[in-house]
Amino acid sequence: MEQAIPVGSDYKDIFSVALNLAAACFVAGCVIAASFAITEPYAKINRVKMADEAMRQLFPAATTFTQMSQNPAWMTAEQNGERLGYVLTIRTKGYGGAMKIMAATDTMFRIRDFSLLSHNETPGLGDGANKPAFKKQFEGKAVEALFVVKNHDPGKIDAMTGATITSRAVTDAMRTEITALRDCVQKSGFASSAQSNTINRSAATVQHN
Amino acid sequence: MDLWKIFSRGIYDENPILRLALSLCPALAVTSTVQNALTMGLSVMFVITANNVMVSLTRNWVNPKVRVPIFIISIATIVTVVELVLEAFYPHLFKALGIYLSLVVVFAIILARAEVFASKNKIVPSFFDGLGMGCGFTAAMVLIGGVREILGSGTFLGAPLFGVWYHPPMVLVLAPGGFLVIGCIIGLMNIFQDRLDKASVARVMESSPVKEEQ
Repeated sequence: MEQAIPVGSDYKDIFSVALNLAAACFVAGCVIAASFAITEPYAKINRVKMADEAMRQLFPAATTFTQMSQNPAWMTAEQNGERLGYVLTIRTKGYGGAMKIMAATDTMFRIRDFSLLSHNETPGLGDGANKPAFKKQFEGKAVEALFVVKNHDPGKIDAMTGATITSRAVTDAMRTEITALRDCVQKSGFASSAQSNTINRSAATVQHN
Repeated sequence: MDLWKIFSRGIYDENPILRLALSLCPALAVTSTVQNALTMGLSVMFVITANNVMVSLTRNWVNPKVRVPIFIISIATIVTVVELVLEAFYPHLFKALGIYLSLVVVFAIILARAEVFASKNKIVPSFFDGLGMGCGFTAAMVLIGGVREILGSGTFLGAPLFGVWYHPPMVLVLAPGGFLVIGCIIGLMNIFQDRLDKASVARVMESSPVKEEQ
């Protein structure tokens, strides 16, 4: 079939190939840009809402969450002015790349609960870090107990089978961050966490419903 | 060609995983539970159908020399748009699908159907080809996921099936178990197909004795 093509058609061919690719990329770019422009405002609202929902699940009784002046990723949870504990947004690296964890502690820096906001862990193995069987182990534990062990130890954290790296990443990140929070709060005393950025939860959710 | 024939071919005769042996790598990775397998299967079904339609629609304008890059651009665009729409309007589904969606871009079966079928056929047959392949893919994924979850974790869709006496063999949930299960299913299918072929050969020989000479 190629012999039938007359001399000189090579140039034409190159031109049509270039045109094809350019057109395909241009169209694809336009389609993606258009969908992004349409969906982004909704997605933004959803991200805020999801983070809000995650916080509410961790502290069902809290009425206000206040960003702490020491670190914008830390928040205090309060119920009518009485402090219930802290919420930390922690970024770390798991088996599949970046992970975002939201952890809640009580005022004694013992873990209440946590949840993975975003992750790329292996489905069926590493994503078990977001499931009750693994999470339950953390309840009520202080930072001193946050070490991953492979042989069952009720005082520590048992690694998930087939996902030791994920188990370690989650546990180590929480230990480091909560230790930092505890040191910071104890150094500065309980009273000094500034009321800089109060997030009024009810107002934030009603708005985009 | 008969539309039903085009559709049903993907389910058994040319099942993407069990017959064509395509997309085995992601199939292994996500079939450790039924729920994951089903989610992945449905995502693929949607993308393969949409992509077949796109490829068929543009088949007369695409230069054959660059068809593969253009197929890939098309697949990636569809997946990206689906991701954006899900994130905006179905955030919980988006969170549940997680990394599955982006994985769909590199599924060999989608590219294979674009190349083998959609780039040479009209839109309607291409649509049914994609849908059939997607159904076959989903069915195979759920079958593999079912075997692995029931035997490997002792649960089905997360609900425990056996008592405490059952100690599931961990290997089935890990990657080697996926290979074992897929191998066994393909083996069983081959035995079944052999029986079927022999039975039909016997029937042909009975009805036309002329063929016995061969």
